[in-house]
Amino acid sequence: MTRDRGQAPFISGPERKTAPETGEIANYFFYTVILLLLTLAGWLYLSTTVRVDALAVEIYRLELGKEELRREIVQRGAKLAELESLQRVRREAERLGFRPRTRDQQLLVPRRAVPAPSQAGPGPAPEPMGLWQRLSRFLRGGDGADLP
Amino acid sequence: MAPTCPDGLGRQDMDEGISRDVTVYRERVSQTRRITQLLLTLAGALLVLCVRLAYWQLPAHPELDPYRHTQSPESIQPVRGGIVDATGYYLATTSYACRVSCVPSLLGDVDRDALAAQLAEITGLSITRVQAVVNSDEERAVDLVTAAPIEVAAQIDELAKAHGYTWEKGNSLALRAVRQYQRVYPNGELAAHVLGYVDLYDGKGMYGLEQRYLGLLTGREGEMQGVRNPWGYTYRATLGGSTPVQDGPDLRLTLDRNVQYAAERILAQAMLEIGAESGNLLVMEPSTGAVLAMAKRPTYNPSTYWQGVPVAWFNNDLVSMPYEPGSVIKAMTVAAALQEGAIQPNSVYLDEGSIEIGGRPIYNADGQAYGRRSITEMLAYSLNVGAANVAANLGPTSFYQTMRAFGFGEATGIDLAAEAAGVLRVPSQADWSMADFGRNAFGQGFSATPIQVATAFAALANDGMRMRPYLVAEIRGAYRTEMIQPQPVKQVVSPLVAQQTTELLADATELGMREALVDGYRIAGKSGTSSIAMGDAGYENDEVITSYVGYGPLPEPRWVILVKFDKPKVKKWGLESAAPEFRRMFEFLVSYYGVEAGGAPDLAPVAPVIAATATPVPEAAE
Repeated sequence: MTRDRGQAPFISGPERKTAPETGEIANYFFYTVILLLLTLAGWLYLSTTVRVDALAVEIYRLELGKEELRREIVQRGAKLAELESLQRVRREAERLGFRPRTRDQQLLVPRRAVPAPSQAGPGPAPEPMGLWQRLSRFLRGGDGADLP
Repeated sequence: MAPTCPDGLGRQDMDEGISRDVTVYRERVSQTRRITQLLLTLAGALLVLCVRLAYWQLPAHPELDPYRHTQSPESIQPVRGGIVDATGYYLATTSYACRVSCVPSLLGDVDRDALAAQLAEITGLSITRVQAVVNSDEERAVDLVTAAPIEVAAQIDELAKAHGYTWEKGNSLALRAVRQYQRVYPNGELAAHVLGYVDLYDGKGMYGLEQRYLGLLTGREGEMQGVRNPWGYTYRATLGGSTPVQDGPDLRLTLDRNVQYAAERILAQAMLEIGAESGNLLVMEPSTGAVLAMAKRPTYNPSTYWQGVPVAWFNNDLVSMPYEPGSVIKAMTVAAALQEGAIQPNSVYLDEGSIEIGGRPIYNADGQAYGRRSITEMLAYSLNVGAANVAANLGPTSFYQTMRAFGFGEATGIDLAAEAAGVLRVPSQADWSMADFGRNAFGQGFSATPIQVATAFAALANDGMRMRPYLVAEIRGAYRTEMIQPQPVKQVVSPLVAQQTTELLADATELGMREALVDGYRIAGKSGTSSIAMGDAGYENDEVITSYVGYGPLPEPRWVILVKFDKPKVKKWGLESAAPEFRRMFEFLVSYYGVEAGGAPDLAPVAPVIAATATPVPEAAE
C-alpha cells in the first residue's frame, strides 16, 4: 500500500521516518561549503598573519642587528682612526727612543746663509736728509702707522 | 466504529501526526526567530563597534597621546660624517660611546664613598675626582666621563639597579650612562681651527668645518616602525616598514695632515722663541686655491673643548680676524701700477724721505731718504715712500679697482664658518679720504684677513688668476658623492704683469729678504710689519704684527705660504720673525713633496751663520 502525500499533506503515521528532503540536503551542503570556506579563509588569514608577524619579528630583529653592526662599525672606525693618528705615531716613536727634531735639525735642505738679523739693516745706506727736508718733516709731524 | 482516514490510519494516529507536525512547525518558527534575534544582536553589536571605532579613529583625542608610544616609531640616529685629510686619514670621526653622569642630590642615603670607589673602578677615573662629584650637593647632572667605552654603560646600569634608583626612559635619574654617538678627534689639537668641534650635548657643529657643513655632516634621522607589547618593549616591525637612516657623508679635505703637523710645529716653536701672543701659518696651492695647511696658535683640543679654553681661541684668525696687513701689500700696489702702465719693472723714483698724499705725510720706517731707487729696491727694503709714490702715479681709482679685484674688502668664499670680509674703503664711500689712499698703498689704513692676503699673492703666483680658496675636495657618502672643482674667481692682472711682479718680488727677496731664501729654489715674497689699529683710537704703542708672504719655487710656484705673528716680544720685524719660518716651512714642503732644486740663480755662498740665527730652543709645548 502506498501513501499519497499529496492527498494528506499534514497527516503522517507514527512509524514514518524523517528522511531529509532535497532542499534540506542542499541547505546542509550550502552551509557545509560556507563553513569550509570560512575555515579556509580563517586558516589563510591566521597563517598569513602568523607568517607576517613572524617576518615582522624577524625584520625587527634584523633591524636591531643592523643597528648593532652599524654601531660596531662606527666604534671600530674610531678605534682605527685613533691607531692611525699622528699622536699615536709620535707616542710609539718616543717609546722606541726617537725624539722630535730640534729646530736646527728641522733644516732639511742646506740653507742659504744669510746675514744675522743684527747685521741685516733696513737696506741701502740712506741718503742724508737736507736741512729743508728735516725742517719740513719737523713741521708736519710723524705718522705712527707707516712702518715697513 | 472509529472513523478512519483514507490511507487506513486511525483517528488517534492522525491526531498524533498533526500534533507532531505542528510541533515541528512551531520549532522551526521559533528557531528562525532565534536566529533572527541573534543576527540582529550581532548586527547591533557590530554597529556599536563601528560607531565606537569611528569615534576613536576620526576625531583627534589628546587623551590618547600618552599611549601613542605603544606603536610609535623609534628614531635611528644618523652617524655624523667624518672628515679625512688629503691622504685619507681621519681628522674627525664618530664613535659610539657613553657619557656617565650623576645627580649628586638624587643619590640618596647610600654610602657615597663606597659608591665613588665603585664608579672610579668602572670608569677608570681617580677616586678623589669621583668623590668630589658624588659627595657634593649639586642638583644638576654632573659629567663624570664624557666618552667612556660603551661596555661601561651596562656596568653603570647594574650599579644603578643595585642601588634601586628611579628609572625613566631607560636611564636611572641619579646615575646614568647615556649611550650616544660622539665626535672624536684622533689627532688631538691638529687642525683644530679648521675642524671646529661638536657640542657634546646638542650635537651641533661649532666653528670651522663642523659649523660650515653642519647640515651635510649631520645626515638624516631614520625611523624604525615597531609595535610594542603591553610591557612597553618593541617586539616586531610594522607593515609600514622603516625609513632608512642616512648617515652624513665624509668630507675629504685638501689639507694634508703631515703638512699641517709641520706647520703647527714650526709655528709653536717660533712662538716660543719670539714670545708672540698668537701666530698663523697658511700653505696654499696657487693654481687651485687648495689649502694644504692652516695653523693657528694658541690652540685647543676639540675633544675636550669645554676644559677652560678661552673663547677667543676657538676663532680661526686666518679667516675671521682682519688685521692691517702692512708692507706685504706693496706687492699688490706694484702689480696694480704695472697693470695700468703707471710704472715699468725697471722704473726708478726719487725717495726724498717723505711724500704727502691727501695732506698727510708718509715716511719710511726709519725716517730716512733713499734717493733714486728702483722698484725692486723699494720692495726689498720696504720703502713706504716708494709705495706711496707708485700709488700716486697710479691714482686712486685704478688702485682700488685692482685691490677689489685681488679680493680685499670681500669674503674669499672659503668653505669655513665665520669668514670676515675686512674693510677697504673706496673713493665712492663718504668716509674715504686721499690720506687713506696713501696709507693703503703700503698696507695700513685697511684690514684684511690672512686668507685674503694669501689669496691675493696666490693670484700673482697663478698668472694673475685669483682662485677661490677651499678646503673640501670631495664629499663622499652612500647618498651623495661630489668632487669639488677649483673655482677661478677673477683675472686680476694680466699674466705678463703677474710674471713681472713675481720677478720683482723674487729679485727683492734675493736682494733684501734673504732670510726667506732656500738654497737652490727661487722664491718671491714680501715681508710686512704693521701697527695694530685700535679702532678709532689710533694704534697700539710698541706692538706690531709681523708677517711674510711668499711663493715658490719659481718659475712654477707650487705653494703660497703666509706666516704671521701678533705682538712678538722680540724680533719685531717681519723679516726677522716671519721670514725664517717661511723658509722652514718651504724647506719642509720641498722635502715632503720631493721637489728638486732648480731655477734659482747661483748666488755666492756667504759664511754660515747658523749659530747666530738658529738658536736651539726648548721643545715647544704642543
